[in-house]
This record gives sequence, C-alpha cells and structure tokens, in this order.
Amino acid sequence: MIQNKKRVLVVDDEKDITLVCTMILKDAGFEVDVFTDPILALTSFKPNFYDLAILDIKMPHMDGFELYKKIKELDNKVKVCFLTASEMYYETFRSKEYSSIDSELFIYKPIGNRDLMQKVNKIITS
Amino acid sequence: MTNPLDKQRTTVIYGEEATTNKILQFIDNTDKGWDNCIDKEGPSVSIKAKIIRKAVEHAKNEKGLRIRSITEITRDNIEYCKEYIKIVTELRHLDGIKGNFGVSEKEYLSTSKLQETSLLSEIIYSNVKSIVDQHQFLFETLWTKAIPAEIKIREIEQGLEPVFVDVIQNSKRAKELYLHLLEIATKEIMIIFPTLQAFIRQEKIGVMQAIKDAVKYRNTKARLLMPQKYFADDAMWYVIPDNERLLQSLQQRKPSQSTTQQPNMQGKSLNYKENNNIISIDDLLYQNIEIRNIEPTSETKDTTILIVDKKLSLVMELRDDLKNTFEEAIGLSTYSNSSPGVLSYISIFESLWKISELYEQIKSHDKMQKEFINATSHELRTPTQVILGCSGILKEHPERIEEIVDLIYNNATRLQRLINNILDVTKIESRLLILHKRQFDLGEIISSIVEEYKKQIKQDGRDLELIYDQQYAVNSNNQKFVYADKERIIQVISNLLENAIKFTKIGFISITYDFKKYDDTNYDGNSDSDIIGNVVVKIKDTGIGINKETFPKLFTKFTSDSFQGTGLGLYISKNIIEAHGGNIGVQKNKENDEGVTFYFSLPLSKDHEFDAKQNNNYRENQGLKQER
Repeated sequence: MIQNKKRVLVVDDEKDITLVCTMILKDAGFEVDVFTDPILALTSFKPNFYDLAILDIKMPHMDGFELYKKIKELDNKVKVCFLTASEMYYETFRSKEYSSIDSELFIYKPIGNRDLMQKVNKIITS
Repeated sequence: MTNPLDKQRTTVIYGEEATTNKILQFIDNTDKGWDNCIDKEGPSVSIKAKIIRKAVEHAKNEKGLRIRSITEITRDNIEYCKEYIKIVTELRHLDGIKGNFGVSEKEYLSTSKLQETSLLSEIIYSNVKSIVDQHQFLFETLWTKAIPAEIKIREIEQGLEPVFVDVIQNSKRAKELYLHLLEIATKEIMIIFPTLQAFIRQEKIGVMQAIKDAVKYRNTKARLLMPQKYFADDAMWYVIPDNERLLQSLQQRKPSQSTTQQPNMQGKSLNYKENNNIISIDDLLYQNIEIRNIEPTSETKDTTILIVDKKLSLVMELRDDLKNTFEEAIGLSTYSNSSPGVLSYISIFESLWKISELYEQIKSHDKMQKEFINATSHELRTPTQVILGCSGILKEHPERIEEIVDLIYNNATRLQRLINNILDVTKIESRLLILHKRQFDLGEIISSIVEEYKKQIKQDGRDLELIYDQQYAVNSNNQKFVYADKERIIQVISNLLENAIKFTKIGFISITYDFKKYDDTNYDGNSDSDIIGNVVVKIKDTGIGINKETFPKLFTKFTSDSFQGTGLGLYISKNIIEAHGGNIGVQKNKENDEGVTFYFSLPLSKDHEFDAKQNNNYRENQGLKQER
C-alpha cells in the first residue's frame, strides 16, 4: 500500500483556505500544491502528477466546474472533488450541466479536519 | 324638368349644386312641414350649410311650418345639437341612428352618410306616395321611441346617461364595440385578459394599438392584467414591447431555444425570434401603460373584462380559447354603464391588481432572501472553515500557535464584520439606525484610517500608494469639523477605502475633502433650512473600475463585483450617509479610463458652525476632545 506520498492540488481563491488545507493535508502526509488563481493553476497543471485535485467552485475568471473540465482534458485519471462555500452557485450549475457529477464529490465548508480527511481518503482510494 | 306633382317617380340626384337645389325645393314644396331623421353628423352639417339653414329657418319662422328631427346626441355633437334645436321645431334623441332621410307630406329625400366638409354629393328623391307614406310611418315609429333632446342633453351634461345593460350576441359587434370603447376612453382603460391566447387574438384586432393611441393622443392611462403563468413565456415579449417589466423579463431570459410556441397559433404572429430583444421604450407609454400578472382564477379565466373611464364595462365571454380569431372565440358579451355593474368589475379589477402587487412583492422578497443566503453563506462558511481547520491543527500541535494565531484572528474578524453588516442592514430595514452625532475633526479621522490601511498595504507587500495630505485635501476655510456620527463616518470611509484597495492592483488611491459654503444667492432660496453648506469627501482610485451590470445597482444590497464579501458595504454606507442628510455616489475618472471616484457629502448646519469655528481655534492648542 505505501508507495510515494500522495499528491494533492488545492485551488481556492481564498488564500486562507489554501493555507489551512495545506496544513491539514501535509499533516496527514500528503504533498500539496496550492493556487489561488484558477487560470494559473491550469497553466501550471502537471498531467499524471496529482492523485487528487480539490477545487473551489465560485472563483473569479474561471469557476471550479470549468477548471474541472479542463483538468480532465489534460489528465483523465486524476480524481477531482469540490470544496465549496456557495449554496446557489453550486445548485444552479449542478442542476444543469454538472448533474452528472457524483454528489459524493461535493464537500461543504465548513468541515472539520477529521471529516475532511475521511472524505479525501475515500475519494482517492475509490 | 318635369313637375314632380304631375308624375310620381323616384330618382337619384348627383352633384352638390343639384342636391342643394333639390333640398331647397323640398323645403319650398311643403305646406305643412317635414320630419327628418339624421345621423350624429347631421346637426353640424345642417348648421354649417348656410343656404339650407336659411331656408329651414325661413320655413319655420316665416311660414310657421313644423319641423321634427331625430338624431343621436352624443358628447361629441352636443354643442351642435344645442344650436340645431333652435332651428327645428322639435328635436329628439335616439341611440345609434345611421343614415339620413327627410319626409314631408308629399316628398321623400335620403342620403347614406353626411359629411361635415362637403355638401351632399348624392341623394335619393321620391314623390312616390307609397314611399312617402312608408317613411312617414317609419319616422313616427322612431319618433315615439326617441326621447326629447333636452333630456338627453341634460343627461350628458350632468354625466347622467340612462342606465343600460346590453347583451351582445354577435361577436363582430362585440369587437366593434370593444375598439370603439378604447377609442372614446379619455381617462383610464382597465382590462383583465383571461388567457394569453385571448390577448394575442385581441392584439390582432387592434386592441393594443388602440390602447397605445389612447395613451399617446388622449393622455389616457391603461392598466392591464395578464395571466401570470404565461408571463415567462417567450411569446410575451412581442406583445407590448414598450413595457419595462416585460423588457426586464426578457433581458433576464437567456437567448431562447424556444420550443414553447403556443399550440393553436401556428406560429403566425409569434415571430418573436426575428425581432429579438431590441426594444425601444417610448417614455410616455412606459409611464402610462402598466402591466401586471395574475394567476388565472375562476373569476377571470373565462372572460375578458374591459372597463373604460370607470363608467362603461364590456365583459366578453370566452367561448373557445382554441380558436384563432376573436370572433370565433367570443361568446356572449354584456355592455353596460350601470354603475353597480361597473363598480363591481372595478372592484374585481382593483383586488386582482392589489393581489398582483403583493405577488410581485413576495417574489422579490423571496429573491432577496435567496440572495441573502447565497451572499452570507459564503461569508460565513469561508472564515469558519479556516477557524475550524486551524483550531483542529492546534489541538494536535499546540506548538504551532505562532504560525496559526493570525489566521484565526483574521478570520474571526471577518466573521465579526459579517455579523456587524447583517446587524446594520437589519437596523436600516427596521428603521432603527440611530445616529449619535457629535463634533469631530474629519481630517484627523481620515488621517488615522489612512495610516491603518497604509500599514496593511505594506504588510501585503502591494504596489499601491495611499495619498492623503492635509495640503492636498482642499480646504477653503481651514475647517475640519463636522457634526455627525463619528463611528458611522469612520465605517463609511473605511468601507470606501477598502473597496478601492480591493479593486486597485497597482497605482494610487487618494482621499480629499472639501468644505463648501453655499453662497448667499443659494442660501436665500432655501431660508427655511439651516443648512449652510456641505463637506464632500472623495476617494479616487486607479483600479479596474466597476462592471457595467453592477454599476446601476451598486448601492443596493448584495451587489458586488468581488467574489468575496457580502455586497452589503455600499448599501450600508449609502444608508448611513443619507441618514445624515448627505449624498453618496460614484463617477468614472475622467482623465483616463482607469478607476473611479467615490464621494459622499455631509451637510453643514448653521447651528454647528459657530461651535466648529471655536473648535478650530481651540484645537490649535488643545487638540480634539469635545463630546456633545
């Protein structure tokens, strides 16, 4: 089971969220890259490098769903989940274009560290 | 010419001269007098045709002949009728007279239509005894049905028209009446449309055009109630493109993949796709045609109700909503001027109108709540997530406190700000925003706010300069004191400054203020007020500006260009400034396209001017410490 450290990409326009995610994930033994700018995250994206991408949904310039699509085009193996704080934005979009996304992949802020790690581990190993 | 008495005949006479001569001859020939029945144009034609009028007057006054006349007296021809009544021996009124004829004891004349502008161009003449007799009978019949002109004139003048309730079986007649009523409307048109199809059929026969004309040319107001369930439909826009609400609903609508065509219209008049959403608003129409939406109810779904000038009602039964034409779809109609009848329709209309208003309010309230949840949930969830995450780590690793404490502190502050904002909005909306005014030095508070933000900018390592300079702040009388709620003004300035910092990546932000006294001429015009001037604070940035869509609603709740924040700051600021009697606004910077300038003003009152001057002097040595 124990191979190299799992690599996680976190994209959230809230800097503090990326900071706290980094701490939690590193504490749990992951390698973490973070971006607050989704465009930069995409241009710097390394295919076949990450095990999981955790994306915020409501972000300037490019939302989490679009980033998800683009990332999947570059790397269809990487697991992606959403960590969101926005009620409506998510609902409007999910009900339309993204209804195919498994609801298990949506994680709602705020979430405690243990619950977050449980979800993350479950998604990575799924 | 043969003598008509010699031989009986019926003939048509053409040409103005010949017809005039014939009429004069007719008048001349009679020994007893004559009777005539003329349409509503008749009186004015009779008065204006001077030769004939003279002959008639001569016959009555000199020869003592009896002249009886029936016409339709209306609001439009009443003045002519009042004059005409003097020319004839007796005038009576009968509704709906069409065509014209005159009959004496031996001759008969008739013409189809009278026109004011030209004399008769064509008349039928007869001295055939049976025709003459026939028309004498006809006249007598009409005469007994007609009412004396004096009564009708009085009724019209006092607005007391006789009560009638007509049942109209012929839908063509209903259509004519419908359009006629819209044509005579001078004050207000109220219509309840039962269904969208009914509306479309009525639009096709010219109802909307007639309403627009009434509004445009006769300054009539129109209020229309439409079935709500169709409102969101694509078909609606073309209906009355001049209505702002429809316009809004269109703009909100996405470019259509419209498959929602109405089933029975065969797409005939629903070519809305071509016309697209480019719609011009005619200001007048926009002001005077108001449209609201109702859920179709059992009271309204089967009838079109028209009320004109709160005096006449036309209620048209909808027999078959699937038909294409108005005539086919309409069953029985009732037309009435009975005031109990009309009043009950008015009360139906008014209650539906009120309901629709409440409905709109509920909808907008609902929307507001959703926006509130949306905006606040992000602002609640984000900092809570950080605090939760950080405290979780601290539990495991208490030694990391140094690294983490600022994160917790900053996010708790963010939560605190949200809570304050929500409380402020609640206060504003329940009118509990109470100001604690006192005298304070505006320059000084700006100074300290600016210092605070300078530190923050430095911490964030941004290439942004905050410019505030007592010299740069234009200040005519060296005055710095205002009488206001200090904490609230600090809140407003901080909010504006924070926004400027948020939206300005590089460049500068400058703050200035200017005390202005109104000159004497201005002051005279407003002697009741003790406002003698104002102070204007400006915050100018070189930022990214404001989104076009955001701009018009910038100071309303939940409006933000940012992905962070609640969009409440400017709303609160506006309310604070307005509670002080001041103004707040924003302008795009002129010199270049970059950036905006926010400004607000606070009034300066006479009562506090003296204090302020004293304070200015006092402050020279003592500094500010006055509290009031």
